[in-house]
Amino acid sequence: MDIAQALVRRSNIPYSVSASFVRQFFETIQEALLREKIVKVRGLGTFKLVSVEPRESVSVVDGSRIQIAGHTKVSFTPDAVLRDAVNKPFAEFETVSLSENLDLSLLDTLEDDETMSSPNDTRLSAANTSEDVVVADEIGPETSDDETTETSEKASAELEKKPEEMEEAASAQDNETNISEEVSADHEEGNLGDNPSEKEEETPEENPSEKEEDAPEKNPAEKEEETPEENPSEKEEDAPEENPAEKEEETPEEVCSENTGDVSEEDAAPVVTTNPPVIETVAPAETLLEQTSAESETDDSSDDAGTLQSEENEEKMTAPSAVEAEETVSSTKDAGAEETSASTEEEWSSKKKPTEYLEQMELEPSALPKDPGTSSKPQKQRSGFVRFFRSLTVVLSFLAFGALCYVVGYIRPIKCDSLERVARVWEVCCSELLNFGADEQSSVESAHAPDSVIVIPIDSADFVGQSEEEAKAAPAPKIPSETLAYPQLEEGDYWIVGIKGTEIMKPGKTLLNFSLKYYNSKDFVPYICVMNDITNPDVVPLNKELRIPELRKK
Amino acid sequence: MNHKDFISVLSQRTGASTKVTQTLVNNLLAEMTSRFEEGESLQVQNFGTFEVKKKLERIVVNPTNGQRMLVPPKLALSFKPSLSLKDAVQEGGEG
Repeated sequence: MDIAQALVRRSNIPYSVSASFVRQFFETIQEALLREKIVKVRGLGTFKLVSVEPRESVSVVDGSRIQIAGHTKVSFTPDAVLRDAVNKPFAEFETVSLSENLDLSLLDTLEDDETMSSPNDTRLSAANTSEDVVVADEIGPETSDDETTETSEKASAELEKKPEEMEEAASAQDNETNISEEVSADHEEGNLGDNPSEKEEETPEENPSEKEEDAPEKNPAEKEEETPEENPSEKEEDAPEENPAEKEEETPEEVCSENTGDVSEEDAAPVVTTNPPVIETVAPAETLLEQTSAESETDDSSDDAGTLQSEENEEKMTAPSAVEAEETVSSTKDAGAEETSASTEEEWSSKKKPTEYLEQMELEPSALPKDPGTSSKPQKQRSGFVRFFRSLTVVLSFLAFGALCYVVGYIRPIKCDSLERVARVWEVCCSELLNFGADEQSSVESAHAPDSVIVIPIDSADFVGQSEEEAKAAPAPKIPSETLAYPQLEEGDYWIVGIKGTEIMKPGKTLLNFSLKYYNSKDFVPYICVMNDITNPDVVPLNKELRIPELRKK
Repeated sequence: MNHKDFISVLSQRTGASTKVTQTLVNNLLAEMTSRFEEGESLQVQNFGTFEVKKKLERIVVNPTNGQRMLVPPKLALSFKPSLSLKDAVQEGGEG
């Protein structure tokens, strides 16, 4: 008992006495404890006997229930002086009341947005999240309303279109790698906007409730789409009525691809107004489109479109868009582009046809004769897939933008601010729809089966396959450019995209404190370490200024 | 049994005056405290083991207002009675 020896040094007493005293000391405690069940020793603490009631438990060995007999145990509570002395190294720590749920809720919303959005959407910033959420809410009811109003057939049509969106998104990514950043941005926007646009397109058609009117409109569009495959001239001849409308729509697409996204958005805005009324309001959109086309390089297409537009405004957006896409492609690129556009039209038509057929059997015969022509050029279609997707994305983005504007109420007064907000809305919408697309692909395939019997089995099959491949490629993680300015945690789930705040290291503070304060989780200490070049999180110099990183989920 | 009683009983057992006993107890406790501050554990035969344990920080929620608090880590002195003391206590409890 070397404690006795230490006592010898302290008290100037012989070792025997010291040892005896120490022994007596603890024996006394024990005896007093047994006798009175409680012993208080100043400077040491309180020993107490606590009786434990018998209780049932489960055997660890075989899981059977066992009875733990009641017993008495010794509890020891150190004296306040001794307790503080022992805890001296940590004495400066204080219990910190965590900030209110604000941080947590913000974090949750961020995560929700991220989960909702596809991996492609790396743009979502913390500042945008709130607006995005609002937008999403606004959009949600709309879509639901549309769906409710729409018949089951309409719903099926939507499902079919959604896979298209997926494909487009994938194609957009592919194109991005090859094309300049601006173009890629346009594509992305297009992808985002595609989903809502499709829904909106369907809704206006359906809303009139006049199936007869819809049917004729769709059929010509299909015809036009199919015809372009054969010859551009034939397309115009076949569906002069439809072409103008298509040109109108596509011209904005061209503008989008060529110009910045803002221009496309502006162009789209008028289109939005046109969509709801479908027939009457097309005229302003055409004028705008003409202007945009004049600005753009595609003078020929714009002129044609203008003339055609004047002829017929009533035609729907979807069908004309395909023709326009062809024109734009041809103008921007070579004759080969025409073929690609034709292929795109074929695909477009194939997708829409099933819906149309389902809805209206009467119109099918008219569409059938043209279908065989579309299947004639499968090879060229493949080569033109990329361009087709590109044009499709542009068209869809245009339509989507219009729909969004219509929904949100930004129909006429479109300003820079509204454009930015619309772009955010697009991101949210696209993310939602892309997520839906995965689930709906199966339904799309089923929908295609009947269609193939009628029209183009080969094309539809290829299309589905590609869509799946592209869908897989789409979720590939993208590294946001903001991360380049900050050190990154390789194995983490988040990018460091900014500085959320700064903290001064004070006595009693820990990295854990900061992690909990800013992220409401203690899992983010590594990010703080990486951000501040801290190699050992247990050793942080006093008064060191710590930068708290702004995180974004990978 | 409070501290005063404890000192008197201890003085009777050792045969020394309460004053001397108090001094010795103070010295003994000072020695023990210094050791605990060093993080050492103290094992006393037939009595038990005093050990300094580190308690990790944790988050607690105030049930009345839902306020979430971060409790810092701390060092706490724990006492584990020896087998002999346990048995003695058990017998005493039963008796």
